[in-house]
Amino acid sequence: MNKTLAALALISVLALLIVGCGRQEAQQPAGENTAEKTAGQAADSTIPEDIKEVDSLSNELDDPELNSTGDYLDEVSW
Amino acid sequence: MKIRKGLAFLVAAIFLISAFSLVLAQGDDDNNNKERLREKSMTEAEKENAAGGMRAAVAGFSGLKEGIVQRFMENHPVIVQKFLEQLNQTNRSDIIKNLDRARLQQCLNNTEDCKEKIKNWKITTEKVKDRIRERTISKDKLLEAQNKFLKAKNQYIEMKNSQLRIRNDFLEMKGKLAQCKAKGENCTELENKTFEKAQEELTAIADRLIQHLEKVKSRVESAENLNETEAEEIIGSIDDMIAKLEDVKDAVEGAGTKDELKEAADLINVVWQDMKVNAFMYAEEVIHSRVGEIFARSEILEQKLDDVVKKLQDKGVNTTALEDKLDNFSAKIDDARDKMEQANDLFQEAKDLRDSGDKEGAKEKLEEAKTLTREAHQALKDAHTILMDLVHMINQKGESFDPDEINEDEEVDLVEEEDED
Repeated sequence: MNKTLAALALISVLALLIVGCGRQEAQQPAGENTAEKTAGQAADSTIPEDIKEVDSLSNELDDPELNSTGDYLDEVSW
Repeated sequence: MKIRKGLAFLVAAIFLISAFSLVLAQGDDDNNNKERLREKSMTEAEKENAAGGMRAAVAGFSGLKEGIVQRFMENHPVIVQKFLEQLNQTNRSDIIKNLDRARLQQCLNNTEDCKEKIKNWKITTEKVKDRIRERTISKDKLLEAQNKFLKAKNQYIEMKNSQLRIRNDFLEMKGKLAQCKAKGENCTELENKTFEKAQEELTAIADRLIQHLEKVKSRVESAENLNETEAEEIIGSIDDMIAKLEDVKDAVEGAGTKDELKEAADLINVVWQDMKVNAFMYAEEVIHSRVGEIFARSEILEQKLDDVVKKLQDKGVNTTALEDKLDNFSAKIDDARDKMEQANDLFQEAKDLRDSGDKEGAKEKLEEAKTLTREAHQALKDAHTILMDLVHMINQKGESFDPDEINEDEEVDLVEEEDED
């Protein structure tokens, strides 16, 4: 009786282990460990930096108020 | 005895739970297997649709391109078959093989239009580094240009504030002088002070324009996507305008009469009229070249993403969702390509108009080019948002992808329009 119970317990534990490992493998495909890292790297990549730079360049190199220069010059020639 | 019974019950319960789990797990596996089989049988069915000449026509295309062709083929088998057979006969099928997803899709949607477009397309083989930049600038020079830019930017703000303050003082004095003259009083002192303030303002206007030009110049110096000749030409032109403004400053300082002051103001105005077209054009060329660099990087990324998807397909991974995203990414890149090409043409038209003396016409074309460049930039921003999703999806499917990992010495084949020379 004791031997049967021990055998059953051993089989049960083994079965749980097999199911557990199988599920873990299914939920964690190869390469997932690098997923967050790579996505993080992508967020810091040069393309976002370039995009930001273009946005700031548009402001830095364009001052709409400069268009009043002609009027200022007219005022001075009084 | 009771303990032994309890133990037996516990062990039996564990056994039942584990047996149930095994059955469930087996069920999951069965479902997965069924799904794989269904995918496999769908591919087989699609392949069956591609019977006859079609199979031969699409032979040689990469798996991905074949995938797009087959997806389209389901609805229009005859059109695609004829189209691809004709391409094979005219030796233009190489272009289709190297075409990005968006343009291939457009080709399949309108084969007649595509046949015309293909005549003007060519395959360019280029190193990545030559694709993304026109010239290489040393780090020291880039740093120097950046420092010059920051200095000019600060000085521009300083000069602008100073000029506006002087202008207020000048306008106030002008008002007082008018009142003085209206009263018929002796206004000599006030007149002299107003004259000095006018001199100050003209100098401030010239300084403000000089600092604006310095800002543009430093950005041209660090623009790696402008070729050396273009950059030198622009810098030469900017230096010329700065030199003229410096000369005018001397003339302003030496002016002894209102007429001489007016002459100096007219000279500043001549440079300003030049700047309205040229400085605007140079600034926009810098921005356009920067957007062009982002576009070139993104275009290469599309090819890299295609390779990763192919790798996943080879592993038997279902890539349908990934490919849909990649189609969207490709469409955004194509939108940017289209707008950048239109902007390029408009820049050329603006230069021609400027050279023929039509400054207003040139300015209008530049405004249009500016709008298109900003739209292309927006399309690239949207593409980048999609790229982030793609990276996440690829990683979830077990492959790693780093958008920054580009070997600049690697050669890439890209389809471009032939130059109209």
